[in-house]
Amino acid sequence: MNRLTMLGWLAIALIAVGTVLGLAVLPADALQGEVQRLLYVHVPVAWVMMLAFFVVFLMSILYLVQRRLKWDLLAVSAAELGVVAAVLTLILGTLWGRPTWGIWWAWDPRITTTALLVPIYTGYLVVRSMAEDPDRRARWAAVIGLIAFVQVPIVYLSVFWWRSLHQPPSSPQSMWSAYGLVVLLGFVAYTLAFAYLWLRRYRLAATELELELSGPEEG
Amino acid sequence: MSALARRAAAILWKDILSETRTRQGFTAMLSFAALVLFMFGFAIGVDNDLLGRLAGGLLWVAIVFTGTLSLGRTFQNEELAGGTHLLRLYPGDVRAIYLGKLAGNLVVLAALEVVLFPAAAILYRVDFAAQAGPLLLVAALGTFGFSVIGTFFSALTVHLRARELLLPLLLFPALVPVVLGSVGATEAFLAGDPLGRAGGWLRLLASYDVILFVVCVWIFPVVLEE
Amino acid sequence: MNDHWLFIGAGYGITWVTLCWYLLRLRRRERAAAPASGRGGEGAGAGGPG
Repeated sequence: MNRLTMLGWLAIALIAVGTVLGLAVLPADALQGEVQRLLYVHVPVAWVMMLAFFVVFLMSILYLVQRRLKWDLLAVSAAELGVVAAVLTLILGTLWGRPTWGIWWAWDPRITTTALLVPIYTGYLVVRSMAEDPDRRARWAAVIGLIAFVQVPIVYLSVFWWRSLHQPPSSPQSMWSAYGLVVLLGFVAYTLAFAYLWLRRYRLAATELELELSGPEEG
Repeated sequence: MSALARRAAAILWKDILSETRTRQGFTAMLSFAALVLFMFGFAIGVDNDLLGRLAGGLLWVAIVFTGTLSLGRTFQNEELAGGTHLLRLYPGDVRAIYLGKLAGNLVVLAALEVVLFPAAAILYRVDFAAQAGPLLLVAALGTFGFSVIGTFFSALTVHLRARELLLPLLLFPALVPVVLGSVGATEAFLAGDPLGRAGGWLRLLASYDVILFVVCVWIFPVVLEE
Repeated sequence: MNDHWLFIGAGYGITWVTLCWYLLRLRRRERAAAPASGRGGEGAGAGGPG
């Protein structure tokens, strides 16, 4: 087994441990009841989403500075995982919100911004899929990755102000009290899973690029 | 006048000339905007109070939709004329191309709004005139923000297949602060700004405009590289 | 036992399904890319999780 594969198994094992702890071992939360268990997944996945998009930003900058396709492939690998994590975060969030707040959707700044991240980075991926020349593709993608990172904090801020007209943003703050350890485990587990999937996806992207550059009409 | 501004002005002038020579594009755009205003009326119904309360939001959605259609033409005309790489043959900083096209979009949108604001005032029975000064500021900041982002993304998408779909996909999320700020400030001013909210929205709009403008101008040469 | 467990189960279930789905998708694409690139054994990550 090479090192990457070991990383993958370690991540899977830790996620499995977290699942068992979250579902069966820990007692229900005093304030929120059983539904609190969803946060052990929701919060780490949301963290992975932010990490992934931050990595896209970093790799985009590196590409623009050095112009090496390696950075572009690392960026797109992270973007794809970020979109998956964002969708998963939203699904987990609604599953948590429905029993807790009684509603599937709230115009909360965090939820709304997360929902907006999906089309932003989907646009990033679609633009890439439509550009044929690898260098052009990398250039345009890097530009979008950079702009997206500039706009997202301001999008969040504007939604925050917009909502503060009507109600204070509702947010689950209570969870940081008792169950920090399991959440921490989740952070470690999902970060490792991200690292594994990211590197493996990068390796695939590199192979595919090689194919694209060698085979005339493939890819 | 600096060389950069002179080059940008030359591009603006070229586009204004070719636009005024035909004028069909602008006429079609104006009709489309009017239709959007009517569609909102049909969708919401003849509830004058409701329409009046929603007027700010409806107006800005109409501006964004119509503006997006018009943005598509920013660089498409160049493509039809032989490709944006011809633009790069102009001597000097390529940022002049961005600034010129940005100015062109500002002119087109301003002309659109000159018609759209009174039309919305009549159709939705709101009194824009009483707050003309503040609303002019809101319109200027909102339009500038829209054009800064819109011009940039239309340059980015012009070479892509399905650009008609990709431009809004990239543009709309980036416009969220512009739309929230413009609508928020418009509604606050229309209500006489009882809560003192308008100032905050204007500051948000202004800072977003400045930040995006700096980033877009800075990075634009990368977009046009060959 | 309340219906909250339905939501909790769905949440954990979807997370695992997503993980497996992404891994399988990766593996499929790796298989598609590997033989043509002429480096069959190396790129597949065979035996990896999923």
